[in-house]
Amino acid sequence: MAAGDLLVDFSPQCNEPPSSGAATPDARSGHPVLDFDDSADEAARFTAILPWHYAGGGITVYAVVSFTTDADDGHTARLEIAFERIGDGQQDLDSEGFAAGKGLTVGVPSTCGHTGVASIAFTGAEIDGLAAGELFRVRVVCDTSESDFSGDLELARLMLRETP
Amino acid sequence: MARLFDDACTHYLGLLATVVGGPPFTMACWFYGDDASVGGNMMSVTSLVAQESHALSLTSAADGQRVVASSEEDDVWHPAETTCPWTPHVWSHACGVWTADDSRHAYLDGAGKGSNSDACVPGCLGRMNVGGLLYGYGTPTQSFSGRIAEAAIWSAALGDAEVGSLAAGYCPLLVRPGDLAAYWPLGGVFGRCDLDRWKHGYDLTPYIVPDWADHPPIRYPSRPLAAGRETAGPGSSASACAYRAVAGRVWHPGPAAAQHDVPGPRAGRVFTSGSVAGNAYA
Repeated sequence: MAAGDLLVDFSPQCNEPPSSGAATPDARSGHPVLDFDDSADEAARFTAILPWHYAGGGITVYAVVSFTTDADDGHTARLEIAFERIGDGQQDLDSEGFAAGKGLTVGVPSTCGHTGVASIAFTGAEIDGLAAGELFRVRVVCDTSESDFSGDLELARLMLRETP
Repeated sequence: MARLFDDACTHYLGLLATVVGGPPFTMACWFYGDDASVGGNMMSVTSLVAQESHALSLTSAADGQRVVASSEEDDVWHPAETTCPWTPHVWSHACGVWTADDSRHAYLDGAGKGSNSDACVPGCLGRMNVGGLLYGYGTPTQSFSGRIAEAAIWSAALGDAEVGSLAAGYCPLLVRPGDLAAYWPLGGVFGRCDLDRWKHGYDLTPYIVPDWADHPPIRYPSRPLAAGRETAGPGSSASACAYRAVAGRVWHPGPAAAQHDVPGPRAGRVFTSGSVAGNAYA
């Protein structure tokens, strides 16, 4: 196992919504998505075990998104991605311990209904020191102050891959 | 499987417990009314000592065929009715949101919101019913005719968008779970039972036992896809093949997947939904 491996694939149904400011589960023509508002920061959280074949090369996060109404390809959305290592005694479940997030900018496709794919790489330190076989969470927040899209951003998939 | 209620037989499910004590709260379920001439009560929390309740119901064609979220005090009803009628013989989603003692709203398929702002404070709410209205005494009334599934109560007032999520087919476990008070799938991937699949154990008991029928399509929580190694395929490169890894090379929860979990006796567990015959979206 090595660089380039797909590690985890999160669908909208994997979301563990925060108690407030949660992205809204929705469907677009039958496709499950999570809606993020253009006017208020909303979040989604996902939990998984980092596969044992992760070789420590860092993680690249891929987001597959569409937009409910916006088709202005001059617009962008900024998603802040952050990791929380739960691991073996690293994190108290009664508190949150996300590492500093990194911004992922996604361009609005010029055709409404098309998906756009964007990615950003995290080093081992930036994923909170997460190691193979450990429980972790990844959080996605849509930073509306750094975005200029209109309508909702629809997150269709979040995928983690060992950085090629 | 969903529960199939026959109004002629006064089928219903019940529980003696205070699932919610009053507003704010939300009740929601999927329903398949099979007779427009019959309305009936889908879900209700009722008083043990008086004709007082909060109820999510249908009215018959004679009364406009609406979804109704109502509060009742001393046998006086204060209903919020949807602005559009329900349709018999199709699955639809009903939701009632009680935001305060003087504010309640009814939804049909996440839309048609109707409101009522009469002050009403039912008391001593110690009984939960599905499929009929029963106080802490007497016999059931307003018996429902048709199927009910995916019934749930939250101890909070859900917003319009969250009601829309439920109407889009998302399982209640995926919508504001921190405020979920009880969840009765009444079939589906959980099998034929009336148990509360959330954490408080508000299990319902069938009285004059209703039958079982097909379940609506629901998007249940799913576990992340933990993938294996990506191998280079034709034309693949580090940058171009990121998504090809899903196809054929890795664990995939498709229709034939063998990795399907059996839901446990209490929720909080997550499980894949794509391989359940006919009853769930992938």
